[in-house]
Amino acid sequence: MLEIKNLHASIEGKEILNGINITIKTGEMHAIMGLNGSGKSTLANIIAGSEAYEITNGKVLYNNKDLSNLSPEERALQGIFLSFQYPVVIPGVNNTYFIKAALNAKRKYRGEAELDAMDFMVLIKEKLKMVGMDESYLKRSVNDGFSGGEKKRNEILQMITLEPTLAILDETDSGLDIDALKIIANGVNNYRQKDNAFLVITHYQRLLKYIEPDIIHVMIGGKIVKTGGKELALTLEEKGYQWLTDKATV
Amino acid sequence: MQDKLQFETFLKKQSDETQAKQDIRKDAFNNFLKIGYPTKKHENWRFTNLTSIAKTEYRLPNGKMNKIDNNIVKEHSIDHSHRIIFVNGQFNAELSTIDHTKHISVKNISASFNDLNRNSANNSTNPFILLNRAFVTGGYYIEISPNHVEEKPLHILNIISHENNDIQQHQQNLIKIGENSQISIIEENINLMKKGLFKNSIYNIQVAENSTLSHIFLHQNHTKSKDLNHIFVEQQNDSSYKSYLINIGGDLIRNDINVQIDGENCSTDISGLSLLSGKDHIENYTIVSHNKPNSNSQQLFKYILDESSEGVFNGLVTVQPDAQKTDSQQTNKNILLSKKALMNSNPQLEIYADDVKCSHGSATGELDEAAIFYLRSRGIDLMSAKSLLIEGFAKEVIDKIKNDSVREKLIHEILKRLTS
Repeated sequence: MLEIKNLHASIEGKEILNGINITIKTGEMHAIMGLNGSGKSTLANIIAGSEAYEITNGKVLYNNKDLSNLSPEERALQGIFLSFQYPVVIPGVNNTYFIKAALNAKRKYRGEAELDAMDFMVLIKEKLKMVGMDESYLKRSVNDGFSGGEKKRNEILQMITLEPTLAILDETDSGLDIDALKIIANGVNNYRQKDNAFLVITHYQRLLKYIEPDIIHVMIGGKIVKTGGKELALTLEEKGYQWLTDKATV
Repeated sequence: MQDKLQFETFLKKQSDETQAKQDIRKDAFNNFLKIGYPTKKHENWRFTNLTSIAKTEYRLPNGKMNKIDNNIVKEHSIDHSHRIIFVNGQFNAELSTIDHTKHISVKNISASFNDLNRNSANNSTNPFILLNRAFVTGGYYIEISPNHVEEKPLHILNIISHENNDIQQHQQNLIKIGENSQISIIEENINLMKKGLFKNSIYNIQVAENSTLSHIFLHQNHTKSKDLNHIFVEQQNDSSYKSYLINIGGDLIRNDINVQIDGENCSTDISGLSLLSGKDHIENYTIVSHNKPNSNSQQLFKYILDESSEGVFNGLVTVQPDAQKTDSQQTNKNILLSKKALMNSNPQLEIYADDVKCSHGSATGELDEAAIFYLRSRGIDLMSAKSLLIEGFAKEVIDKIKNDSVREKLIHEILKRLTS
């Protein structure tokens, strides 16, 4: 579903990604672990179509098509979803209106009838329950006055409503207490199916207790330095990143 | 454009007026001649291009008007409101739907000309106020009796429809809210002229003890009109005055609003939303003067500027020595949608009391790139993402307006402009 081939990217002349290779097949969940500043979020943003970075080499293929010419909205319409590390606060834009506009853009793209306000409310109320949010969130502006945990739940709410085929979760676990973490993990696990795929970015292994990736990559200095099965998370918890850093610099 | 001959001809036509009234006109005109039009060297006028007002030979209204199409009135009407129509500054009972109650009185201003002599504009050295006093021919006088809570808003449609000449129109409007009363007034200007209009209006607003006035100005100007508004507000104890200046485009719109908080425990909200494009030029000059203790005031002025438009915000809050425990906030936020648009912002505070809480701030920037990316990453296209953000930005001001039908009308007018 997703092939990242020798991807190099930089911002303002500073190289952040230094030749990334990852292949994610339909039905798989991959995790990328690594310390802050290793380039994990850059990779997530590039896949979602951020124009803040310059791709200096390599490419990203999604369903065998080069993503480089697709706008962020086209990528979203074709099934890519990014749960942001820092969801943006948008004062004055109602959360319900926003999610409905996003869903209807997608339905229109797929040639389906747009949902009217009534049908949308039925749908969104059901989704809200799945992430333990109450209806008051619908009346508020997008992420405005939301706590860290509420923002992350709002991201997962959007994910399960928009039903992407490739979901990228960028540090969705950071800043969450254990209850919120379980709710989010539950939302992800319920959504995980044979016909979609996940790329989960985290620097703690605690999230991986609740959602089990098939493959774990360790990213250091804009490169994947180690790839392994889910047991790699435990090794990292035990030994930290130091042994990999040492190896990477050799 | 203002020559002696024009004034003298005008004065002769008003021969049914009292001598006292004619003397006021003469004094004002002579003072105007002494002062003349302000230039950009005057601090308060340094952004305002008055050349075309000074050069155009605007005629005075001659009483003739184009017929008003009833559909125009219908088009602008607001559900569940009293509709009050003024055409060229004169009350038009036929088109109005005010249910005449003993609580609301609507008249032409000429009925109360003397009331205007005691107001703060009296000793003004502002040449436009002087011109207004010399040439005033119309306006409204609205009085709400004491102890009356009016549920329906008053919708004043001020229609300008002169014959085919460049016209100057000077209006004076007086609003008196009695003690313990409450009302919403929305004033909308409709310019049906094909030629240029120079409209110069004075508002005197008196908000008595324990009364509340929510006052909305909707200005939608076409490319040939110059619109100057001088708004003077006096508040007594425990009163609340809320003013929302909604400017949807304009060749030149300038609002000077001056609120004197002469009572204790008052609350004041002076806010505005201005949408500009093309070569629009919109200015809001505000003065809020806290003269007594324990009152609060807030200001939120937002501008959305596109193309080569220019905006000016100049806000002054003064806290007089007596006005302890004043709580005042002033905020100006602007979005520039084009590299050519220009915003001048000058928030000011003058504090002469020591136990007060005052803040002010100003921010001008482009649309938030991170927010645009966030919306696009959800499948919303670039244009829709931008409009959503602009609407969201505007909404903070519009949401302050509590009356549903008035708010809906404003949202309708704003969206009409933004999508065009």
